[in-house]
Amino acid sequence: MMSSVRALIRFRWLLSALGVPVCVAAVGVGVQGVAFRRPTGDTLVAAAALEELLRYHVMRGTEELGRTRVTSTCVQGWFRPPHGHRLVRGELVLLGNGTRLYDVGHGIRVAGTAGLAPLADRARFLLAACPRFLGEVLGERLIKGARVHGDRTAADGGPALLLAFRAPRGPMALYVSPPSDRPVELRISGAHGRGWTDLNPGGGRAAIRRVFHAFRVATKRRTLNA
Amino acid sequence: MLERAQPWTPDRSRLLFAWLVERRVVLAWWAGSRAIVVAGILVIHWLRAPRGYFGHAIFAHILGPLEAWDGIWYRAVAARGYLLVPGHQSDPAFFPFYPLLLKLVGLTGMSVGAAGVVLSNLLFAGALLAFDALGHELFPDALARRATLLLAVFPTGYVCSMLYPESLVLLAFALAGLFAARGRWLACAAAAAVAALARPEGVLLVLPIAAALASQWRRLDPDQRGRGIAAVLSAPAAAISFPVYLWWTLHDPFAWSEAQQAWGRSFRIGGLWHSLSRMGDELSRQPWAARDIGFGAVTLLLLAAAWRAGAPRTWILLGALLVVVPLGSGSFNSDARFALLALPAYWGLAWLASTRAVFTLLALLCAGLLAAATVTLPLVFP
Repeated sequence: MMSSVRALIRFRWLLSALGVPVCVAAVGVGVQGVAFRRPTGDTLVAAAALEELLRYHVMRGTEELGRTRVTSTCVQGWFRPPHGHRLVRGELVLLGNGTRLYDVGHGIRVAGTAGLAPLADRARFLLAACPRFLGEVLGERLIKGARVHGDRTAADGGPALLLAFRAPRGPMALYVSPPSDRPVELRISGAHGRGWTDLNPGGGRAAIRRVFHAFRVATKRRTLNA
Repeated sequence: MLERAQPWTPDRSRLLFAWLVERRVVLAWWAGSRAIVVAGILVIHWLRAPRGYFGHAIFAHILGPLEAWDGIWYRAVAARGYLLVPGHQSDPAFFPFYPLLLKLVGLTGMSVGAAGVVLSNLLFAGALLAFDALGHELFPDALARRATLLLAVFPTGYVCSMLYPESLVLLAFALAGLFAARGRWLACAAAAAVAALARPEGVLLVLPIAAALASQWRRLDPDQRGRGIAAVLSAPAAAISFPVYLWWTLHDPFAWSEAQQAWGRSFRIGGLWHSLSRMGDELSRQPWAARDIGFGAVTLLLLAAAWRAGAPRTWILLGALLVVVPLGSGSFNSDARFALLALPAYWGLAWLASTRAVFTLLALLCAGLLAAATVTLPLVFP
């Protein structure tokens, strides 16, 4: 008994040597937990969905706007605009009816025409759900601490999570498939009208080549001849 | 086991007052240097120029420029907590202790921005007093005082009036060093923990604290040795609490490093070589990089002077790591601000300014550059 007490006294220094750092770490976590607001579950799901969305560079879909259905393929990347020297980041959208829409940082435009695209074409572009474009909208909302509302529902023939958020051009709802958070459907309403898209993220070389061919993008230098 | 606490009595108040009166020169230089920064801010507020990256919202109120750049993110953490937003610059890149203080001072009813500016300035006053005391422990009085006064007007010190944690970290660094030198290990552990929760560089305090412990080891009893080891381990323990918190709240213990990548700070093998070999490219792309390169180089030279002056080697190593480690991200961005925390650089500067004439010249040069750095705040991030 006495020898145990003596041993305890002898190694008492270990108590402060290890106990204080452990307390520091525990107090650190506790203070942060008390001081800072935690994001809601819906917000965390939205952030995870955004991460999944940004993995893709191509998004295919079937859009319905008004009563017209049309397929869409969005390819994003770095392009050299006509009469431009520097590469710019942008999105090219090819619709099934042959319409070519693009945005290289100066607003959504229809290839072959001057000025910004009309409202309906802008809605078509939104519905094409280009990952970076859609990711910008959702990311901005999350950074500004805007509310993202989540709901369990069904989409694309399976269980889905609905993430509703307000974008500058009106409310948007992104449906993601749990547990991968892969985007399966996008709905928009507001100034551009109402519409939805059945999403199929990713696409092979054939899809990219088709879009590049339609936009007459030289694949080596990716020069956009819109 | 615990260090004895002194009761607060009227005598102690008088002692504190006398202590402050003795250091009135330091406080006067603090006030003077802060006046330079505030005057610079008033000038850009009234002129609305240079506009740089600042929008109307920042120019809309007088302290706006001092709340800008990373200050916006620290305020966001205080207001909303952390969230990692993939593919975007987001707030887990910012350590928690400073926004935690912002949250506390926000409870006074002042706007968080204005309260943060007041807080940063007061912390800087505390940092100067603590650095002065640390200097007196290590150097002759005259050199220690000159170093404090030169730190007060050091050009990159404008950031100590902004919503940035640098003044807090300077204070915590100086206090950790001071308490370690005096063998007050639990107080040292607390200061080191604050530093490591305010900036990741706080972990580097392991070096000077361990050196102080080693130098006193033979005359310490086992309990004191235990507390000394606790002080050495406190900074890493506090720093670990941040990823643990992020793991708990965001389910991602690596949120800090992932957020750093979005800010262009992904550390990699060869990053230092990349920074040095692409210095020319960086200068042609962003001429303001010259400021960061220049201050990084000057800091390393001042550390060499501090070596000659007899500064503790581990403090010099800490200072060098503060300059060199961020270059591992492949860029010189903000290296001038990171170098601000290299305390031995000011002892080196004071050693160089050994005559009154040189000291006056250096102080005037620093004050001029401090004013210039303040008025160019809209043009480049600190």
